[in-house]
Amino acid sequence: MTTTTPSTDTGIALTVRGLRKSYGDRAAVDGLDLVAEPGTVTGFLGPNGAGKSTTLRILTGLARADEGEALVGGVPYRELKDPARTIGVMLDARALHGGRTGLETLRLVARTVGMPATRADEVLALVGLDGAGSKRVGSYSYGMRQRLGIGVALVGDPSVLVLDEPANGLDPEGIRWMRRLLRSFADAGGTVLLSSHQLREVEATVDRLVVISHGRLVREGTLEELTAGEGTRVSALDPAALVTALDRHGIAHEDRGAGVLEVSLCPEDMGRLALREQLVLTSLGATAGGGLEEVFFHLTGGEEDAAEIAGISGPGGSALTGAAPSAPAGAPSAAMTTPSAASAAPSPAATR
Amino acid sequence: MRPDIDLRGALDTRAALILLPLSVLALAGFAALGGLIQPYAMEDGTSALDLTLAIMSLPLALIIPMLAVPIVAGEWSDSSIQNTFLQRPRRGAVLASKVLAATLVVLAVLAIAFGFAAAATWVGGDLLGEGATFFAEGNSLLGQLLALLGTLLFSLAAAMLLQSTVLGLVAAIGVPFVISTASSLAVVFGSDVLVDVLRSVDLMSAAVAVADGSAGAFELLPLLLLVLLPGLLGARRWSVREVG
Repeated sequence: MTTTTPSTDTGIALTVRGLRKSYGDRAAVDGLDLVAEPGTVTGFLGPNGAGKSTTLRILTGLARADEGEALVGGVPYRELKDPARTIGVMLDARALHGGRTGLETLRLVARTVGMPATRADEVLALVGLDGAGSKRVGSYSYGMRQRLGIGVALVGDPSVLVLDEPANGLDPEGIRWMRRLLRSFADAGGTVLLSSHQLREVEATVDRLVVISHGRLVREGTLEELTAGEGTRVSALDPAALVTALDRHGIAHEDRGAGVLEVSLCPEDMGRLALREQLVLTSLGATAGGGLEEVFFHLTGGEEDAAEIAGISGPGGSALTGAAPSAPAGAPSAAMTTPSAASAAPSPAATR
Repeated sequence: MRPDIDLRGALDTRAALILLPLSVLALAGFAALGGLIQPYAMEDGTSALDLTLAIMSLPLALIIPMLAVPIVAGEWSDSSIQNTFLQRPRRGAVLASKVLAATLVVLAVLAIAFGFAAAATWVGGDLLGEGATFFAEGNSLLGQLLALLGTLLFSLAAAMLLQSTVLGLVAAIGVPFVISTASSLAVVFGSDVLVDVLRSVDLMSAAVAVADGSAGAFELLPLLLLVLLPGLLGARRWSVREVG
């Protein structure tokens, strides 16, 4: 039976600790920490040039880190005995030989990773290319190449999937197919790390998010945590006194104009603070929860320092897990140690 | 090492499906040209295997790099090396496997070429002419085989070092041509220094010298400069080069 369920019952986590990689003077990855847990789809989000692809290439042994480590189940990729049976990777769908047919591509991979040749036919059907197996990859559309690339990743029946921009080039049906694929894979205990800059796609697919900018972790948490309300909008009869009170208590705030401040407190706490400080409030209310797009641009804004962003935007500070980008190499960030609701024990692997 | 994988990977592409039959056809054509026409061109009406092989060395000088370089370096050019390293992350083993696969393919083609040459020489000499000669005087046959081996080794070294099909082919085909042309010109101009410099990088001359027993330590220089040195540098680059 065709399957996408991970091959092992024991989950394999992906761990990146204190990763640094520079090209000349430019730091592509700068002290990055992240964990992708079994049973979850972890979105790896960041603008172009943020260091996502470099991180994934180091994680999969295609590049070497200057400092830190990237581990698959506690082991560097290059030291895995049979890597494709543990971790399926699709980084670049163009990296498939155009002169080979789709079926032959998968058969060659199956032979390489020690799977029976019939696995190639299974996977070809699984990725929806059974009608195009005899065509040469060079004649495939980009979306078909994406499917084949995902198929290559799945041939070894791995426990972990690492996919870089897998939705690129896929039509709506293909995107829905991919979502289902990743969801069922994670639900069966597999680990999925999904890099993307397509926010809508990420929003619809992932359980947890790791957002990086300039090679640094700026936010990590569940999708709900990251897109939860950003705080409270408040105005007072005496705006200056309100600002003074907030500053005295070390509460982050931003001026939204017309005397309105956005503060990093829930409305109830803001009300209590106003009572304690003898402030007359003229308006008070929770801000609408920002969508992922809003959060993303907020976090990765070019001129804003990532550390500041991580520090000020968490409501209450406990739900959101901002990590200080300047954390020393090797030191796990607070974000890393925060358990995710979605990382609960997965359901047993489905039968194949 | 998985040379079986690399052999299959090298032979199941469209390029291989075109190149291999064309190569065999070219070898058959040149074998016929050498073996069948010799009796009519030679005064004694015979056909000699070493002369047939000498004629076939022309297409082989192109065919050997065209087969060996893509097998070793082709995946770097089309980026499919990424998937290879993802499935087989021990890069040294991948390189050794590809070199072995390329060597096997070229040796198979050389065996076919030798078969064609022998058949054409026999047909031309014994059936059409006054007789066939399979064992030439001297060591010209050995010299030709060593020169072909040198072509293979230099092709492998160029592919390892340059890790690009196009650059590897240009180097593997162009450098011996440039060296042999420059050597001829150096002899014409009578520059001993230039002749010695070019001898130090002339694998073909070294092969002939080894075959006729006149080789000294100097004949190791081409092997060192054109095979071992680029091979070692290529192996080093192969192990550290980033992919993607």
